[in-house]
Amino acid sequence: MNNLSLYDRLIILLRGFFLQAVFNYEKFQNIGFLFMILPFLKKISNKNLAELRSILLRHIDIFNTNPYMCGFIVGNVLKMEVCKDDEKKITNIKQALACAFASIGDRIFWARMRLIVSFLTAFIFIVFYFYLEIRGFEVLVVSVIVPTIFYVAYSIYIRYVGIEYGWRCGGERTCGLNVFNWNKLIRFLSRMGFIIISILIVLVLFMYGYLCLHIGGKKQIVIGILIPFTAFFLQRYFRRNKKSIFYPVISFMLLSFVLSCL
Amino acid sequence: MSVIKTLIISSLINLDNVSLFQFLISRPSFTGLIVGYLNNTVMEGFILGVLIEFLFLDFVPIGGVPLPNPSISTTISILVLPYYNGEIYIPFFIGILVGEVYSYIEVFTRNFKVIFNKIIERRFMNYNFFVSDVILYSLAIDVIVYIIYGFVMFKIFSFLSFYLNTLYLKNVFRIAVVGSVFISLSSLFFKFKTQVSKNE
Repeated sequence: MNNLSLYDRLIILLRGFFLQAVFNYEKFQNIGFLFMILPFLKKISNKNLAELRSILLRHIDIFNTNPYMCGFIVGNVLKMEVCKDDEKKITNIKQALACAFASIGDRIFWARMRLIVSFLTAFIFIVFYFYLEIRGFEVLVVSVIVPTIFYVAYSIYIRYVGIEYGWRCGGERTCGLNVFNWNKLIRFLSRMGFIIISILIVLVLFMYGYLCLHIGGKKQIVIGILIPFTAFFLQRYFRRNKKSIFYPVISFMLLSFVLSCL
Repeated sequence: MSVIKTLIISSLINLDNVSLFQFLISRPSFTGLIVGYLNNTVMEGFILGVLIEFLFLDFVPIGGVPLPNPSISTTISILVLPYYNGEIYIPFFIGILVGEVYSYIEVFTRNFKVIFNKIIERRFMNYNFFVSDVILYSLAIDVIVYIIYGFVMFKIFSFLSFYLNTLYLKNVFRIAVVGSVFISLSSLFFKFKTQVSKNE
């Protein structure tokens, strides 16, 4: 009865897709979190409404983590609720793990994988469209869909195994943090991203150089050479001053008024 | 396809950005492909999407910070394309501006959704454990705000095309678009270079 069955895990997984549906600046993902745990809590409360109410009111508090990693916390919290652990302990572990997994998830998914997916989209498109000269709607679809499928598959996998591991080691303060070698994964993704963006820059520069040389007169070629160097200089200058990317873009736009008059 | 229909489809795709799934189908290249296909400008839509995506990759959605919205950026830039002779240069910057302004609207909607906390709390106090309708209302707010904002922006920038769609400005923005590509690439290269060197 109080076991997390396959059906329960699938329900939690599906409801996990709504974690941020009511994202608000008071308690962040709290309603999404409640939505995830509600069916299982109803099951374990055995129609004891007073108990269910007290559990839910406890979990209505602030909750914020990376959406892909919430399974680790949900599994853990549900195990503790089943084992009727101390209320304070449940809240403390929930909040501590939410912070830890937010940091890990943000570094893996938002800061690396999301970027790699975009790089792969551009990479596939440039290679097929400009270098192999295969031009058609299919190329666009492949370049967008293929990297997205890998991302979706991996994110669902992490969400699912998170619930399972969280449940297995529920009640432990380090639950889920030592399941995978997160540091190794982060290092691997950093290197992978660096390699792909480097290749992408080389491909873009070759393509750009070719187009510049075939565009027309000397003036255009001079402007064409000036653009990447100026862009690079502006980006480095504003980044050193910790400014958003909009600063170099707006500066370049202003500079374009001058360049277009040449 | 009509502007409203496009905005409805785009608003549903946009739910993936924060509210649902997070499957990256709301990223600009994906949105650009779909919205471009619906408006018979697949290639322009896709290229606009990729360019906007690379620029917005500089922002990382951590801790609930509001970021420029990629879906509305791409959608509006594609919708105003016909008003700018089908050339992507000016719509690209219109899209960026529209996406950036939407981040402030998003702050407003997220603050508005605070009322759902009180509703849920009151329900639980009264032994009513129903949450699904609140989730649906919240998603509906996202969709409605997106459509209204998108429609207003579309009207503004299609009207402004009378003043913005000049040969001079087109040349200026063409250079600026190329510059933005190199700024994005440079930014992303150094972002990963820093990450790799920190890990070593």
